[in-house]
Amino acid sequence: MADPHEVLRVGAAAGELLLRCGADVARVEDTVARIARAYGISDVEIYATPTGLFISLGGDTHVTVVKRVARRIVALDRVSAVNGLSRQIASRHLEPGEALARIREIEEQPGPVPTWTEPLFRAVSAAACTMLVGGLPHEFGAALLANIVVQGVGRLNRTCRLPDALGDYLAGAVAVGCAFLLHRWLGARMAPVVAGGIMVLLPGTAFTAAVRDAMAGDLVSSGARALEAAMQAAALAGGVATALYMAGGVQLL
Amino acid sequence: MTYFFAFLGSAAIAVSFRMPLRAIPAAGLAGVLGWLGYHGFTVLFGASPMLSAFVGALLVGIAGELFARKLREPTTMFIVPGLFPLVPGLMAYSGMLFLAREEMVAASQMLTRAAFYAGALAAGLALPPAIMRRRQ
Repeated sequence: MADPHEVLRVGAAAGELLLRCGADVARVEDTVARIARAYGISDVEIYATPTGLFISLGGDTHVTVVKRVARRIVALDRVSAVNGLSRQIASRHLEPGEALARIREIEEQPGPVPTWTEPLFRAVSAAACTMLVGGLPHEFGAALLANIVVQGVGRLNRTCRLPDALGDYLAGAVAVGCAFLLHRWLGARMAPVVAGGIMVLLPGTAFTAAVRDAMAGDLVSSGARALEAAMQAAALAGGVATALYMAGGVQLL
Repeated sequence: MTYFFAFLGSAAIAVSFRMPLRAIPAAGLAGVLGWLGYHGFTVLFGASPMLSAFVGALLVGIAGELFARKLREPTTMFIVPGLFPLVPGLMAYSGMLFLAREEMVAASQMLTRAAFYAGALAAGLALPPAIMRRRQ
């Protein structure tokens, strides 16, 4: 059996990284428990929520750690890598120090595609959603363009460290504004362009996680996630409605 | 043709979520299956959007569980991108538009519909893990 303090450090690092990268709570608890058991500690209690986690390892003396997670992004490659690492720890008995080093490595590893292309892929996805709601070929281009601008605003909001809700509000407003301009210039209809843009901006991840957490019995986490989704949706809707109101009088559908 | 865009939409959003490249085709496929459920039920059987959304989300959920086992990755990785083509963007937009025009009856009708649609998606997503996880 390894030193509980060391194991705790590994478990906390893995759990924190998973939460920061947008893993669901059940996955976090499962992974940390698997790591602890692999090091021969069976008496383990984990309580994870989207904004933090508690880990307590039993044995001769109890050791406990609390980790707070303030900001979350979606980085599935890291979730996948930590998942793989926890399997490795279970099957091949990595030393705790080595495991910790691997977790730091995962934290630093570059994404599967260069970071600057990520907004492009998101814009492509928005444009594809535009086509799904009945867009025409030239509206594909319009949606692509509009979404890149929207993401630029989102990035600006993050650099200025303004609250996320404000960013969602601005994103909704700018999405409509861009669609309105493109409507004037290219004759793209607004409805498909905005709808496609909204599909990418709506809190799909938080919503999905809320449902999954509820089914897994993690009610606190599920509630927090549902609230997160509702907040995002409300901010976005407010932005869209404001912009539409200001653009009012035009035939928009 | 829409199936191609369903694939593109899901796969592209998966890339932007930094999904490992080997899992991207599966994410796209989950999107296609969801769209198949939604589109197929709407077009072939003339089902209501709610029922179609439920079936679509159900297929995404099942695909997610299967891909997760096959590729040994967390289920979320396939469900989140797979659900993207089904998000009720147009409903939400129309609701906002009615709201901005102060057509309150039409707005509340549309927004309530979008909310129930989201509920149908949630129900469809919730079932597969509940049933398919018992064997573990």
